[in-house]
Amino acid sequence: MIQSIRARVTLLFLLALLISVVVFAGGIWIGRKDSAYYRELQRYVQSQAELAVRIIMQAETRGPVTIKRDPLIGEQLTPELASAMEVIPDYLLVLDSTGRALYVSEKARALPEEDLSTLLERSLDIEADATRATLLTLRSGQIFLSARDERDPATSIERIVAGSSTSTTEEIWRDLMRSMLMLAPVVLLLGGTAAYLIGGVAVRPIGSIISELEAITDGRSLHRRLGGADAKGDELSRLTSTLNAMIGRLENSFGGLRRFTADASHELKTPLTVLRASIERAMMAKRGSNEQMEYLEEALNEVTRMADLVNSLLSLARADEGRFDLVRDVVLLDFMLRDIAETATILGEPKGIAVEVTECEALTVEGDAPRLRQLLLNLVENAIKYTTVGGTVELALSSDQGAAVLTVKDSGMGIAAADLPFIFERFWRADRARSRKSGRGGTGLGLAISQYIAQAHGGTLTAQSRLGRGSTFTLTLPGAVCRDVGRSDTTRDSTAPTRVA
Amino acid sequence: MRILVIEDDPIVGQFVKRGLEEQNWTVDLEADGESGERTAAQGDTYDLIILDMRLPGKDGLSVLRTLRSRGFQRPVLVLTAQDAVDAKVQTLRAGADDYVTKPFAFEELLARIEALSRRPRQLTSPRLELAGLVVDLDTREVTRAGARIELTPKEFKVLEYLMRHPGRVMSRTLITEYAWGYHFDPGTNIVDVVITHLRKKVDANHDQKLIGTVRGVGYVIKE
Repeated sequence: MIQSIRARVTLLFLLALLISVVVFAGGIWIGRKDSAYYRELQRYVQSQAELAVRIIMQAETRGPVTIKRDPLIGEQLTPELASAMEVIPDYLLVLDSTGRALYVSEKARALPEEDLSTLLERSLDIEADATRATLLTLRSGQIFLSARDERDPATSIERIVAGSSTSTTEEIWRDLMRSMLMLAPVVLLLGGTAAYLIGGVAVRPIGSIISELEAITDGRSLHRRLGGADAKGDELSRLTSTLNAMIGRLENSFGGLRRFTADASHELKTPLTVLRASIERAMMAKRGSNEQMEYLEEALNEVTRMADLVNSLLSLARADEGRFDLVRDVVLLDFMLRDIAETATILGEPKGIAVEVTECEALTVEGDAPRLRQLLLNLVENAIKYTTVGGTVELALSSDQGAAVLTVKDSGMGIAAADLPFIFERFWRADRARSRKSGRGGTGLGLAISQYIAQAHGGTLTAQSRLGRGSTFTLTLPGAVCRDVGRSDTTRDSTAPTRVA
Repeated sequence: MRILVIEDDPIVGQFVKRGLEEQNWTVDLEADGESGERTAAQGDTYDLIILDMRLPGKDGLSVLRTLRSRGFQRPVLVLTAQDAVDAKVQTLRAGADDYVTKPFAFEELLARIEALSRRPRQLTSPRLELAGLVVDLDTREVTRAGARIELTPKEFKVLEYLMRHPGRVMSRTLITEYAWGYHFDPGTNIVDVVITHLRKKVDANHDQKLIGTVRGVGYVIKE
């Protein structure tokens, strides 16, 4: 999906950073109830409750603490005590045994009615424990409550409840979260940029390794090694030295192939030379019988075929190594085509095949004439071989956008669509049974070599075919030049060629 | 002409020696690099040296370099099994005048020696003649009893080859090699077709038939 490692590293890093920020903030938010702020608040509530108890006990020593002023309202703290209780600014309730409030601090009275009644109700339920504070959730916020029981039979006071809102503390946490939320994009941006830069630094050597490797294309460039395999010992220099070792092994095996090619040239060709020399000598002797001559001719034919096969195999071995050498010179393609056409006519004569040159522009290319001739002879030989009695073979030479296009078209049996992709492979044969019928076929290397010849010229060799309708082989050679036909033949070597448009 | 052949294989060496001697040339044979080099360096004896590249003792390339550095100026024809372009370029740079790739046809070796020895043109007759049949190699005209015969390029080439060796049976393989330089599939009777054409053009109107067939082998031109 995303191609570059650098982009992926940056994205993954950003994702990890985002998760960390969220987990960090969430952890703080959830853990805030256990924080020192909350414990401090609880202690504060407990001490307020304690303070209220002390004030009441102090008051009791001086006289009654409650009066019954209004029969409707019932008993209440004395005004003196009530004003003394005002020193406690937060929530403070003084209840009697029935749960009726004898005193409600100003802040508690300011609560909405619903919250006040909830507060009164819950105040009775909570445990009277000097070491604990209970959290009560109201509509308008949360309150820590601490209760004390004061069971003096002389008074109707039963329970004292002090409370303090958590809102101030919550506000601190909210502020913290808000600033975290605002900082998060900045952190992510900085982190992402850093990851992108670091990713670039880490990936850059890989880029240079790739371009260096791309420069090593064939057997000729295998002596090169990648730079940067120093003693640092990091992953990249290990990768580099591993690749270098691999290239070294490749170079060795290519070198082995080259040596084999050179050795095979000698080891196979020297005995062939001896064989050939012996046969030719024997044929030159004037006293041999006709029968002996026949055997010698057969042997000579075999030796030339074998030498041909050896040369073909060595050519292909060199081509694999990227060393398909050409001896380039100016090649007059139209002359070559006429020459080939004559040979094709002779080849087709026994089968009554008509050979026709349908188009022949005066074109030249820079190329290896013997190799191109070999290619074209191979094509016409195949065309004649696979065309039935009375068929036609058409040869044409034309130019197309600066390239010479040579076609060999036959009306032969054609090639099955399934076979077409394989015909340029080595030792491939259309139909083994058929090619055996007429003695033995060729080496099966002809088309493979022909294609290498075309490619070594920077051109292409392609085939179109339909079973039963015939085949067309097309050779395209770049860099074709049109000769001035008006002054042709006698002056053709001296006329300056003009490039085909 | 005096020729020195430096070739370690006795069969190839003898084959080349005898073939060249048939051309009435004097031929000496050496079988290794060092002795070959010594023999070659003896004054102005040889007009041409045929040098094999892979030799025991001192290899052909070193022999060639030594000879050239000592001022040997006559043509050197190299026999090599390497047909890669860089190998050929290497031998030419070391001072070879030409090379023949193994395995070679004797005819090719001969043609290259003739080209290298730069024999004056008038000595090699540009006309081949046999019983009134004349093949002019310069104008590429063919006449029999004064009447002109029109031949296609391949027909000319085949006739020329037979005329160069009158009385000798030339096998189909040799004819194909000379005229096409390409090895057709076995069973291809391209030479027979051309000979049929030649017979029609050369022999048809004459009582004396010059082109003879040797069954299973090839053809011969003779009186």
